[in-house]
Amino acid sequence: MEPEAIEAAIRAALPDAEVVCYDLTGTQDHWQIEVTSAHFKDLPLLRQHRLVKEALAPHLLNRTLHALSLKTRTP
Amino acid sequence: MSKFSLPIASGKPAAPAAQGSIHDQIQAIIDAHPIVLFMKGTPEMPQCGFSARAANILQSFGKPVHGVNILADPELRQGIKDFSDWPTIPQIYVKGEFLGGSDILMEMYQNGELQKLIAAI
Repeated sequence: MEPEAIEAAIRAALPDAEVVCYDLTGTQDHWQIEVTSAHFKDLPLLRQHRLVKEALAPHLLNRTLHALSLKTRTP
Repeated sequence: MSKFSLPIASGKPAAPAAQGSIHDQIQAIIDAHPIVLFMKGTPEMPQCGFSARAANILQSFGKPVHGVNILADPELRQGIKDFSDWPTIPQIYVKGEFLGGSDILMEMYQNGELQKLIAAI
C-alpha cells in the first residue's frame, strides 16, 4: 500500500492528522505509522489506536496492510 | 457485523450458534487465565516479530502467560478479531480486560502502567 494512500485513509477519519509512515520491510505492507492529531487529546491510548485502525480497517482486512506499528500523539 | 470481520466465504453469515461458541471459548479462556496472549506461534516459539515482542514483555514479570496460537485455528483467528473489535494480532488480555496490541503493551511497559496492572494479579 502506498504511503499517500495510508495518509489519505487516516485523514478521512482524522482531517487534522499529521501522518508519518516508515516502511519496515520495503514491501509496503509492514508499516510503522506515527499520527499526530488533536482528536487524541484526553483519549486513552487504546481509543487513539482504535481510531487509526478503524480508518485503515479495509486495508487490514484485505491484507494490503499486513503489519502495523502505531505511535499516536497530540500536537 | 463488526467492521473488522471478513465476509464469510460461503456468502451466508455464520449461524449465531457457531459464532456464539467461539465467543464463549474466548470468554472462557480470558476468565480462566490472568494473563492471556493471543499470538502467532507460542511464547516459546513466536512466529511474528510483534507477537515475539509482546511475549517477551509479558514473560518478563515471571508470572504465567497463557499463549493462544491463532495460527492453529483459523476460526479463532477471525473470532478473536470480532470479539475484541480489533483487527490485528497479537492481542493481550489482563484479568479479562483487553489492553490492545504490542504497541500499546510496549507503551504501558515503558510508562510503568503495565507493571502496576500485573503486580496486582
